[in-house]
Amino acid sequence: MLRRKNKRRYLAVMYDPNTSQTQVKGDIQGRFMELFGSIAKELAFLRAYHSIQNGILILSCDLEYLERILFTIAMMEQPMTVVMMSGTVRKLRERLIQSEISLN
Amino acid sequence: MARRLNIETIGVKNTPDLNSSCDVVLRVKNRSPMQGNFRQLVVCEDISGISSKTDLLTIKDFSRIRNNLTKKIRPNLGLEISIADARRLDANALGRWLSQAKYVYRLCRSTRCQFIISSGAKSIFGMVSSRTFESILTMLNISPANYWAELSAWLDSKDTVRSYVC
Repeated sequence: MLRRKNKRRYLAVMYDPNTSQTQVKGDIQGRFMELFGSIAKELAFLRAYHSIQNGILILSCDLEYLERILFTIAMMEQPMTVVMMSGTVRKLRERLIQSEISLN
Repeated sequence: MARRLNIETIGVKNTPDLNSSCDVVLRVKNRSPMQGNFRQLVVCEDISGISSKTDLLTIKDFSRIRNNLTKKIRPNLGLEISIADARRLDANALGRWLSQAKYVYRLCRSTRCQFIISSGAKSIFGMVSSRTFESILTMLNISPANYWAELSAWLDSKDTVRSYVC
């Protein structure tokens, strides 16, 4: 039997640091459900990961639902933006650290 | 920030202290005879205020101007819709916004106008990356490659009419 994991994408979402990470994650999930429904929300398998950068939320989703997640983030009432995207969370974290260094 | 989001050219309001390494297009109400370092686009938000000098019409309330739109527009005019306006809408209204955006795109194709989708950002958090623009274009059934190519060509066409005061 072929066991194959669905491909995922990891997104770095930049948001207003005055808002909590939990609230941002909840807002994105809520907006996604409002736009695409409960089934899509479950199948997108949205997960949040810890980020050491202030004002950055690492979010992962199923590759199949990536377009819809990007659309949802663009249509959030509280403005936020996807600054980086990667196929693995480790690579995304490395690139976030690198970009922080290059900005400083 | 624009570089981080893979955006090569940004449109901004004219401010005296503007200094950017990015390719900047100024959004002005009246074209200044002194061009300065940046390209300029004459932006109009009111459909009745369109003149021969207007480069870009920003569509705020589509339902109000729908009937006048076809009469007032002319070829090579940019029709702009803003993501910032859509952010405030609920799911039903956002669905309507998408269908209106599709209508504006079809209208642009038939009248040789340029369809422009902009972030309408007032802060860096409101900026939209090129990849996100592409996902919005995909939702509108617009080919991102065609969109970027047409937009670049349109911006270049606006650049050729620049005149310099020596």
